[in-house]
Amino acid sequence: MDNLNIGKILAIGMFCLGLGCVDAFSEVQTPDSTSEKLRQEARKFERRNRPAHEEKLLEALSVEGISDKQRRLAVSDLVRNGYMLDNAAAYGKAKALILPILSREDMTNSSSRIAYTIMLSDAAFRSSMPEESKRLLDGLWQLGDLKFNDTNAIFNARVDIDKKMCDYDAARKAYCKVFENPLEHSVRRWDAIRAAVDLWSADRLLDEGIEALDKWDHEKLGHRFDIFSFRCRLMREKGDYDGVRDLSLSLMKEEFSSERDKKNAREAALAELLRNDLERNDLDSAVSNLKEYGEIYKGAVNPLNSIVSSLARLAYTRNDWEKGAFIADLKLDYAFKWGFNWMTRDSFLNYYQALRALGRQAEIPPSTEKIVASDKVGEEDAVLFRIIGARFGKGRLTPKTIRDAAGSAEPKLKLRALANAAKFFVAHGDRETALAIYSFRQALMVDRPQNRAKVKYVKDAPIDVGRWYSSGLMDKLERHDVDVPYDEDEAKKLIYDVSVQRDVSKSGGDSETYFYVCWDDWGVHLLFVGMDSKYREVMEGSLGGTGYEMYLCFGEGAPTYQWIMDDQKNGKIHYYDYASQGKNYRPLKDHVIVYSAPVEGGFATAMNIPWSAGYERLPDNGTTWPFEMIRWSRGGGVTWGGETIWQISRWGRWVFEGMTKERKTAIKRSLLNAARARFSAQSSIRGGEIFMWQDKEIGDPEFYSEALRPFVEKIQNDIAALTPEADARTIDRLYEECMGPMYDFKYYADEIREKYLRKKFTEE
Amino acid sequence: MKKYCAVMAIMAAMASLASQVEWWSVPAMSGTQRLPDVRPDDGEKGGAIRIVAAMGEIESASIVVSADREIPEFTLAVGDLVSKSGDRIPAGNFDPYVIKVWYQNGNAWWNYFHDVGLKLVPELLLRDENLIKVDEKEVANFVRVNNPKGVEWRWVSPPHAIDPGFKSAVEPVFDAPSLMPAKIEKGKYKQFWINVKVPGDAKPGLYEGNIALVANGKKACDVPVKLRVLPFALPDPKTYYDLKSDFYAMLYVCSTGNIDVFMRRNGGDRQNAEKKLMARLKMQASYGYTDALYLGYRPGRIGEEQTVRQLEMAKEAGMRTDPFFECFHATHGSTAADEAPPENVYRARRDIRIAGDFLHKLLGHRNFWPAGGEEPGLGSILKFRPVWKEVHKAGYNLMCNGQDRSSVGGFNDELRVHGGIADASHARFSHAVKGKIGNYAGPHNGPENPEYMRRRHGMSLYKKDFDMTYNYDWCEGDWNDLRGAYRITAVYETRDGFVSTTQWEGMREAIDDIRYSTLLLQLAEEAYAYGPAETEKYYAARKAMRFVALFDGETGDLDAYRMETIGHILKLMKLLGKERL
Repeated sequence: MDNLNIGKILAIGMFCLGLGCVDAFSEVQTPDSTSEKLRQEARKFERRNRPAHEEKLLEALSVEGISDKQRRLAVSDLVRNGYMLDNAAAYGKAKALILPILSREDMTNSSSRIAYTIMLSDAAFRSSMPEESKRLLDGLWQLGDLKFNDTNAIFNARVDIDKKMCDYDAARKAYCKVFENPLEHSVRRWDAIRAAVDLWSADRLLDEGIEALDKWDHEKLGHRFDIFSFRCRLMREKGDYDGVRDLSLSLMKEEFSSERDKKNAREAALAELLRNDLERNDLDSAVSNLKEYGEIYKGAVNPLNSIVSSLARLAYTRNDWEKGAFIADLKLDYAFKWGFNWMTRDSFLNYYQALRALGRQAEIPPSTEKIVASDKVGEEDAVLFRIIGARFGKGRLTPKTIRDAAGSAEPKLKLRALANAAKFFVAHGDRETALAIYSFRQALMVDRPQNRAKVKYVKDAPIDVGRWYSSGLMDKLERHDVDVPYDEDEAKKLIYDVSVQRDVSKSGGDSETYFYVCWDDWGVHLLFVGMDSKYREVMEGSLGGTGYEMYLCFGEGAPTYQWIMDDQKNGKIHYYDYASQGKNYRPLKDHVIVYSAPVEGGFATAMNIPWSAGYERLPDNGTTWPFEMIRWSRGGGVTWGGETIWQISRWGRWVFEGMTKERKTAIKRSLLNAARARFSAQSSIRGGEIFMWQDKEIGDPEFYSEALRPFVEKIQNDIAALTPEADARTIDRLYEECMGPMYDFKYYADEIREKYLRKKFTEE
Repeated sequence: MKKYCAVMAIMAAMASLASQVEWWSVPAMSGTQRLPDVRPDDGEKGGAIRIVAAMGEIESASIVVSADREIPEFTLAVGDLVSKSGDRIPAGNFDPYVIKVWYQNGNAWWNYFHDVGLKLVPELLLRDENLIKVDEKEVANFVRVNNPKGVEWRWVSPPHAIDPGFKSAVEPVFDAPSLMPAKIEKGKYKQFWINVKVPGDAKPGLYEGNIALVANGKKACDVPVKLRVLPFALPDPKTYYDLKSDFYAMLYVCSTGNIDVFMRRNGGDRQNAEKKLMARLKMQASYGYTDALYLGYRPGRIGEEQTVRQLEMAKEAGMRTDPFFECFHATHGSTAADEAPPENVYRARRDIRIAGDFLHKLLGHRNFWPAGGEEPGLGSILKFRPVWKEVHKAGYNLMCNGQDRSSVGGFNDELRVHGGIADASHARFSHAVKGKIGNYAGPHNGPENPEYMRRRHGMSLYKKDFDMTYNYDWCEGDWNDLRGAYRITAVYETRDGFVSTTQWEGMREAIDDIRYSTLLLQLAEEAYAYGPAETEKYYAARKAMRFVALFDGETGDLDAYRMETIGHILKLMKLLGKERL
């Protein structure tokens, strides 16, 4: 290589360094690393796309020159995470993959052979061939030169099959054979007895288990205290709590030559005494045990600590502050020694609640100072405990003291800490402090003002999409954008709302949505538009359309209408009624007129809601109607203003304008005419109520003449005044007296009938 | 000065005595919210309380009271009702309550969803209205906690973000054993509710008496009470499509499900847990929800001792355990996307065998309906197939809640409990494949409106040919309506029992509507069997059938339906020569 070439190479090298290409030079590509990279890539498809997952792994296996270890990893992934998801095919596929590997000449490593055979056995089991699975494993004992790990693996795999088949008897026998054999390795004996205890428990063979444990030569094996705990567990399952206590006290008193054994023995004994108490919910005994043996607990780790935590929780659940505080006092040092996490935060909050209940609140500030000073305490808890300390130290909290306590913590964290602090004071019955913290917290949040849409009068408002677009109204009326993103996690929670079927899973599209609204003498007219750049694909049917979820009340406090439009293209609506049809509620499905149509760049829907649907709630100027709409588009959910569905207090409001006396009279006149037509139909032979009640076979002429006829005749007399010349005053009176009875005659008639019969039944 | 004060006090007392008390008898099961500022124009001013009930039935009545000045202590004094022949319905069979209007979230009355705002809603049936303090200035509810050191008022309507929860299983919160004096504010309207339990052996006929309205210890006036005891007791409810097929009524419970759950919530107090469970079972059984449902049994592991006790209690409370629904869970499949591995099937087989033998020994039958999952999706249904097969191999039926699964199932479950508004097409499919269908979440419990809840648990399902109501939840164990995404509770929990609500009373009437319908159609079948030649009977039978067929369970007036049904029953009884049933 001449100098020039060396110079070129150096120059290229420097250039690459400058571009950050140093990795390409420094990372040595080996068959294993290439294969590993492919294996990692395969993981992306795991359980989501089995063919792609399998294909990548086969690619990883086909890399020339990979090591046995790398091959085993890839095969394991392929069999366990790929083939075994397909029960029926698992064994066939695994055989096709593994048998050629096992027959390779270089397959001399017993451990590898065993690992592959276990995979094969697993696959056979998965394919419902348990005998084949067992046969494969039993054959492994023929291999020579088996090391401890090899025999362990074969034994565990074999006994696992018995367990999976719920043949606990066979599994237990296998375990017993191991642990009863003093020549077996102590670790295997230990594992075997632990597994056997679970099986004795599962089959409720408790005496058999206890007897077997008694045979255990624990002195030599150094697991005596664990065996003691197993024994206690089985005894407790028998209900022999006294026996456990005697055994524990006996161990507690025993002398040991080593301090370590003594400490372990006492911790084990105390743990069993306290487990007894916990299972029997005997707090008196627990406190007595802790008073007597509390020293043993100090500095002990699990399981003793978790048992004590459970006892403390039990005391707090019962509002037994005295015992709770006693146990918590023991735990205080422990928390500082072993860490301060969310579990112990609860412990502290409970502790403070106990201190306050016991009149020991003076102890709270120094304790909180200690907590805040600890480097094991996170910022969120520091804020929380600073607030609590400030309240009990300085008395009433002011915004300044809260602000100081909150410090410069990250906003989300601060909000959580403030909420937890307020919860603490609510639980304490200190509402004033809780509200002070809550107000401070709310001020930190950007509170969206409630949306308001003016609903103006438009003479002969458009009723379909074409008329809306040609009316010019979209330039004159206010456009209302529906652009508040619906929180993705909140949307996922809607799966729990089983009462309503909605698809919130769409993603990757447009979300521009807006609406216009106006009213006329007939009713309210809503136009909503969902822009969709792929509207042509939606039209042809290769893509799904947009869904809408909408809510409306005809005034504050009125029943809520909810409806879902699955696909704006079709305009088909599912209505959900949360009130019974009657004098004060009429389902929208019988009243609303809907037209949907494609428009430039999206779809639009004209929804027309007649006044007849809510004739008893005609709005005045300034009347508000709660309204919310959510678009479930491929671009995610967007709402007009609400954060989640059904939060009626956060929905926007339609505000009516232009309702003059004359216009209202016109509406009423029109509704009265419609109601009169419905009322007239009640005399029809085709299902009319008036006709029916007069019929002597299916009706009750006596009832009709006594109770219903006066009502009918009054309506007939009154409504005669409904002429084209009737003045506003007459219209108001008729509307007040006749609108409901005529429009919903059946409900009025039913009420009269019910009262008639009830009276008849309760008179002699 | 002292003399002056004494005179003033006497004058005040006299003025109080002279308070003009007015009342309106109103339909108890109405969908109208009875708020303090709303005059009950739908009621009959000064009208008698008229109750029509079957032997052994619980029936509700209601009045709204108003006065021209404040009455600090107002109560109802119920007297015995007496028939002309001198038979009595003792005053003790009447259970009067005051309806508490309190703050609930903005969706209350109509729905069970979460909201951030509060509004006043009538809901609680209290004997002591002072159990709850409603502060209209602060817009807040407080519950009275009887601590050993004294009464504490606990704020139970904090915003969700700062609500620590209320330990209703532990806190000493108790309603009174009988109606305590309530305060009538000048010009406001207060609703009272009276449940009457007609003795099962009461002699049919008309009973009359009075309920005295008592203002500050003095009787202000009498409200006449007229109770017609009908000459029949109600049968168990049957389905509309098959008079031989039972209509099942059960309620899913989470926080108040079984002894173990109670003990976890009350700090391990077994005695209290049993007391509460018995209260729950009795309340449900006496209101017609007699199917015991899942009681927390885990086959072969935990719960045998509790299950034995709980089944004893269920029987004592009047619950039905044959069939035994959701007696244990049979899914044994993870929620992973893969097919259930064979070991799950082996485990299921073992558990099903153990559970079946254990329950058979306890109950003496094998009419078991294990639960095959919790709202499984279609993918999970595929996974569960092998385990469901094990249930069938053991000879049991399988029930499972969730949405329509006819695309992948329908052949391997006997009971689908449909989530959402019930649809008759679902029932048609289930019955076409020899299965049954139940309903929940149509809507969930929560809306306070008794008329709406009555319809949804009763005639709406009945007329759609459903076999079961199985709603969720009966008691959530919390008092704050701003808490959680859903507020799905039908009653409220006190230390020793539960407080009823308007919706829970509506849910009772729902089952009674089906029982009345069942009796009517049973009698109609009997009359119909005489054939056309016995024209009067034949026509009466077919008129009754026509009446039920034409009644729209979604929109019909339920009170009118009840009275009309009674009319048909009495007519058919007469034609069939039955004086008493």
